[in-house]
Amino acid sequence: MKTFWRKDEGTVVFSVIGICVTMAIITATVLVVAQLSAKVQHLSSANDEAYWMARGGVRQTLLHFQGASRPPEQTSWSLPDGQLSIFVQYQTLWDVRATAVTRDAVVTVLCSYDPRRHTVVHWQENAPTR
Amino acid sequence: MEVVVNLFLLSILSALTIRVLLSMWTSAATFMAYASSENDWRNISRTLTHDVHSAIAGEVQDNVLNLTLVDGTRYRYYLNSRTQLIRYGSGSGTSVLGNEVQGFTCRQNQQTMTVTVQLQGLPRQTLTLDTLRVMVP
Repeated sequence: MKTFWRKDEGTVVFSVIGICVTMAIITATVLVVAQLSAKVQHLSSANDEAYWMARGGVRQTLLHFQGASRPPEQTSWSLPDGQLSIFVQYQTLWDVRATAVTRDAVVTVLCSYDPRRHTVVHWQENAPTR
Repeated sequence: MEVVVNLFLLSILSALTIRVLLSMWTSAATFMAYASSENDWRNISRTLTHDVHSAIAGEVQDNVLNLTLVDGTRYRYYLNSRTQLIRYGSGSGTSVLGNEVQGFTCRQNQQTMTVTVQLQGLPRQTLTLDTLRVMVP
């Protein structure tokens, strides 16, 4: 038995497969982009969280300086969200380095305090992590 | 059977493509304006965040924001008459942070500083910032 479109069957299969593959690629691209954007947002908020921890650490140390007390050179706290370590170097300027390490981010904030003038003279965020 | 499936899929694909192309064609200008505003907002928020976070003191009067950074630099943020947001640094020059800024409002609370910026074609954006508030001269 012979139908009038029988001779097209072979080529039509390829066309159907091609269309399906194209659609699959488009869908996959959309999904990957959505996933990446969610990841970027998550990392950005993780970075913010670590930043506020480090900033809080430096600010606390500065409040100690203001109250004329000298915190120890090396302090470390375990907070619910991560680890915060503060290093202070007592030289001509007092250098404070606070590093907050959470699960997805590491942030270091640097700060220099002039004990004679009783002011902050240097402030650096996103400092290299040592 | 295969021909029917093929025609069906082809029609879906071409409908989608035509729809996407049409919407891209009609909304290209809007999208460019949106992207420009978005870029301005990114610029404003990055600069403001960096300056306020390393500021030892900030004061607000009549929606003009005056900041004193820890290294002594002073910055003044204000809207000029051509709706540009200006960052004027004493001794470091003037820069335009954003064009077509329709509103720039600063409010200083007990602990934080709230800056609201209204840009052309974007929803009202709010930044909550924090000055150092230690050893204010």
